[in-house]
Amino acid sequence: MKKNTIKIVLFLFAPVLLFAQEWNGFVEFGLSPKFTENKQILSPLGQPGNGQYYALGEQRLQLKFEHSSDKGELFFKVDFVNDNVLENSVLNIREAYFTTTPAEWMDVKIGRQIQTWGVGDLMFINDVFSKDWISFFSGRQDEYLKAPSDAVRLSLFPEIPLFEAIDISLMPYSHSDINLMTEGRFASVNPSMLQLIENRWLMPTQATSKEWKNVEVAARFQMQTIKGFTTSLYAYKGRWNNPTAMSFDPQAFTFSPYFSELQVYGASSRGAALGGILSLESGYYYSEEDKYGDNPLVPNSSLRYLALYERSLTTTLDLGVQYYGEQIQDFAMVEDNYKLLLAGNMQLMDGEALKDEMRHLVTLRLTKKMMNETLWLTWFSYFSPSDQDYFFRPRLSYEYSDQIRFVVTANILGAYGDNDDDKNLKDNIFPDYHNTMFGQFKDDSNINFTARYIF
Amino acid sequence: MKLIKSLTLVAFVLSFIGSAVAQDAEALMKEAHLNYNYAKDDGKAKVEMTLVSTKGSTKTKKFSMVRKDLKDGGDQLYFIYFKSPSDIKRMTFLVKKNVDSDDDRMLYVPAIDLVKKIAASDKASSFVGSDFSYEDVSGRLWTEDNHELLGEEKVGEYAAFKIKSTPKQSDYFDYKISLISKKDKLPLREEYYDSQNNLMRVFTAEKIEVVQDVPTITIRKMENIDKQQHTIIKFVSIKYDIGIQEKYFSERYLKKPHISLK
Repeated sequence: MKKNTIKIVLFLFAPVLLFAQEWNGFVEFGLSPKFTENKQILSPLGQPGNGQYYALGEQRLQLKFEHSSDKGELFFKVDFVNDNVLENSVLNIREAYFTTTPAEWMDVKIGRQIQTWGVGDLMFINDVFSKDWISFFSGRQDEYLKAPSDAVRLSLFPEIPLFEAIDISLMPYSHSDINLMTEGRFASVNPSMLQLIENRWLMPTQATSKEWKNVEVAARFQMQTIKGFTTSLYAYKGRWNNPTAMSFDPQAFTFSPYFSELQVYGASSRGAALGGILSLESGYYYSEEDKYGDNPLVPNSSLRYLALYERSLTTTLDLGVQYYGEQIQDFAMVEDNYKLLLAGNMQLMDGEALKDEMRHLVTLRLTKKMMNETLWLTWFSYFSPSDQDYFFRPRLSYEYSDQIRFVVTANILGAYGDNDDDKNLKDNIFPDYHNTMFGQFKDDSNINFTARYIF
Repeated sequence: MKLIKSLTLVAFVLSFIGSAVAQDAEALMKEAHLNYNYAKDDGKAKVEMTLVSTKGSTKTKKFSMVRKDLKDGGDQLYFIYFKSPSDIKRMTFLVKKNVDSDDDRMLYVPAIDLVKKIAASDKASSFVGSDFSYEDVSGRLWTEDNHELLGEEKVGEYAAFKIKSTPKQSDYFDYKISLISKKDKLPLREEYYDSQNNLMRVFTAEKIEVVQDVPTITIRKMENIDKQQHTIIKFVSIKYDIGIQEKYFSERYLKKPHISLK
């Protein structure tokens, strides 16, 4: 085991040692005590886990390396993390790619990379690339919300009228969101899931096999800017990023979560308007395995859209407001299924019956820059009147020197109204209780303290 | 002898014409603006920007800056490639200065592969946390102010014209006193005043060097009187007329900067 670790480290550092150029990166200490104990979180031995008290407790060393030649560029970024909550030490290769320009009209980026597109502010529709929400909820730097993917990315710049660029990302194996919940950092209080677990009906999540048929493709067609507005079209064929579908074995009466097939088609446009920047985006999520919405174990298709308006209010104060909407398709089918279930004519419940047909969400961002932009006060919040939940994320970040940074972030997750009614949990078999993106983590609210030395 | 006499006469006439033109305050400010902001057709420099606070603590940012003029005195393109501190290293920033409308600003954050359009309605906002504003970096168009020649004054060894500029429409300063060197027609000092005649900010050209026959202010200082702090921008490795292509000022090269932009 030890020998292997040394080998891996040597292997990883070989290129760095060979080129021996400038090293950059940072050393960081992060701690996120929770506001309240979350008794749901147990260690593998059934003891209270560290995650009951801390959302995060880690030391991180990041190393960055780059090498350029006239033909291309190599970039490498690795994080060494000692995690006191999960009690392990890991090495994460965040980026390891090279880029080159084989033809005047084409750029290629090969390797592990962070990919982003779309125009939302911390809301994603056509950006189907992996996310790490738990990282975000526990107070790590924003960049860790984006998880890397292994891909071959082609960017084409054809001399076709109207077209600016065509990006095609080929991901040889299926990617998903990083879900650290099961590892004992956060716990979702989802009673129907708890019931499944207690009855031993729930089997481990089936990983998507690394077969050719599971290659994922994402594409963007960026149009030329017209009247200050840049419009893009998107397409994706792959799988949902979360194991929201289940396969059911009637003999053993077990459920196995898996990542079902998904196609996404969408468009976005962004430009200067109303004294600021206006961004619009929409996407149709086509759930291939539930074409008509009648399969209770697979998520329905949905239509998603957002509008974002950003502007500066003063020279040091910026504002961003965003609306996001999500409409479940074939919702009548979901309701019919639910009626059948209540009448005893159906055995399985449609997970979507716990949701509303429409999900509305608004975000607000205020950024105040003080002391020559060394002190940043940021307010960012998600608020959903339909889910009746919220995530408030006030942050203070201070550049003490060119090398030293301090950051304090509160991560306040919660639910209100019916969604926060403890009575629901006791009275109903299938309550809405905490079955929403932010509300489910209300016992995991925390405050993060981070100190970083960059070099 | 006769030839020398006539040459002297020509020179005298020429210099007379020269000073007559220079005394036109607006023409002088235009010339200074073009010399300062539109030298040759394009230019590239390595920049070191240091903010010195009241207590003497310093914050330094290093970046490369490339400029291309689309039209002399008109629209311009700027490309900035950040080098240090290392948490902003590889970040890039593209500004299209539009004379007739708000600038277009685009930022690329490589750590999350994010291209961000930035609202640019306020030209007085700080340029990357320094005492310089966006407008200070790309230059205030001479046509935005009315100019009046107040006289002549010496700034160190340089003889200079003293000009008062008053914004045609109300702005973040009430008036500005500029000292434009007679020799190079470059701003040596600019004082910004508010409506109570309080000095708000002072720009000084700390060092002028001749680069490819172009007199260039290589060390620029902006002092904020209220905050008792200042920022110094040093330009090194300056090159003019590098023949940079317009296509490099696009999203493609923002994400993957061409070697000539770094």
